[in-house]
Amino acid sequence: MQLDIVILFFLLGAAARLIKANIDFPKGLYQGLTLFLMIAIGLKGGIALAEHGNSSLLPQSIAVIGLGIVLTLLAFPVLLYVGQLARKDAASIAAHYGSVSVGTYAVAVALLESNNISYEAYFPLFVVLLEMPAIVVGLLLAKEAGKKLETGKLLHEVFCNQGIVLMTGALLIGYVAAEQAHTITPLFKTLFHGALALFLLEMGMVAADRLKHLKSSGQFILSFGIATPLLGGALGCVTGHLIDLSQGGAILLAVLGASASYIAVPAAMRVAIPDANHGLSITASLGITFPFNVMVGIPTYIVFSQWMAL
Amino acid sequence: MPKSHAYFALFVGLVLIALGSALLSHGTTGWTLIFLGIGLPTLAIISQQFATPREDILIPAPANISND
Repeated sequence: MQLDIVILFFLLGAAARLIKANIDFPKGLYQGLTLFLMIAIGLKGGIALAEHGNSSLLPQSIAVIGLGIVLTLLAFPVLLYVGQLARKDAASIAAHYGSVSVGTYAVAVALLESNNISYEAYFPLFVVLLEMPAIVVGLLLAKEAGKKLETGKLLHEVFCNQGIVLMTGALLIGYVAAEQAHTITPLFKTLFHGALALFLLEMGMVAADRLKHLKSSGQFILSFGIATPLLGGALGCVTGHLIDLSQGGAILLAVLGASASYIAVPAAMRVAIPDANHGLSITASLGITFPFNVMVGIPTYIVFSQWMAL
Repeated sequence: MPKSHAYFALFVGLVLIALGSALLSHGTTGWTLIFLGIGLPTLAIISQQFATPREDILIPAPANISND
């Protein structure tokens, strides 16, 4: 499978950082692109929900939330007992891997569209749903025996983080004002791939920056960052086929299962578990899993889904 | 590095090699997975070799040094 053009920008960013080329990517531009991608994804999903929403969405949504919980619970004991990490670190990293990466999802969508593989257009609803459960489970796992959990803080982190607010808001706007969507789709639809390419340019540089932390993180985190996406991808793909998603939908659910959050969950964990080792979780999710998924994982999940469909 | 980490890396490597072998007909994805599958356990073994103190190169502790 040929590398998609947006992935080539990721490689460009990584190569530029490795040869120490001085590319000054404005922080504001990166934040703007992140906002743009989240809104574009949510909006597209809301419009599709208004056009194609049906009763099968409820059991599918429940299954997707269940996937997020299961992935977090599978990752935690591996981190705690095999990796021998502290409980808080294991819970934080498990929450990252139980949640989703909007960037990885956007790359997968671009790949499916360029390979003419159709998928459910309301899929962004599942992206929003899968953001949340891992944060809750991660905080519950990190809670030490005898200590009280701050429910207010927990709820705020689950429902008020940037990703949830923007994507849910855009989803609702797309759903409510679908007939007016043509006035803004020139921006959010036509420019999507270009914005994604620029976003991945910065992500390539950031991922290359994290490589130097691999030495201190150790062999376990490197292996975990590659094995867990494969397991999550397989579970996501199986779940997708079980809930009667199309082949493209099963691929996207595999990608969501395989991805690890590096925007919403790190921010939530920094507030909720401030003394966890956040550098370790970012190195795993951004330095290892994100590049693995973008370059190798997504094509693998596409093939896996095609096998399952046979 | 604890042995459990090395065994974990080896297990992941074997899975990657198996998956890569199955995907060889799909171009670079298969070869990349095989490469990762060989590289991961190799890195784990090498890093464990360097982390483990080797008795034959340790300098014996000096005898009690007098301050005279």
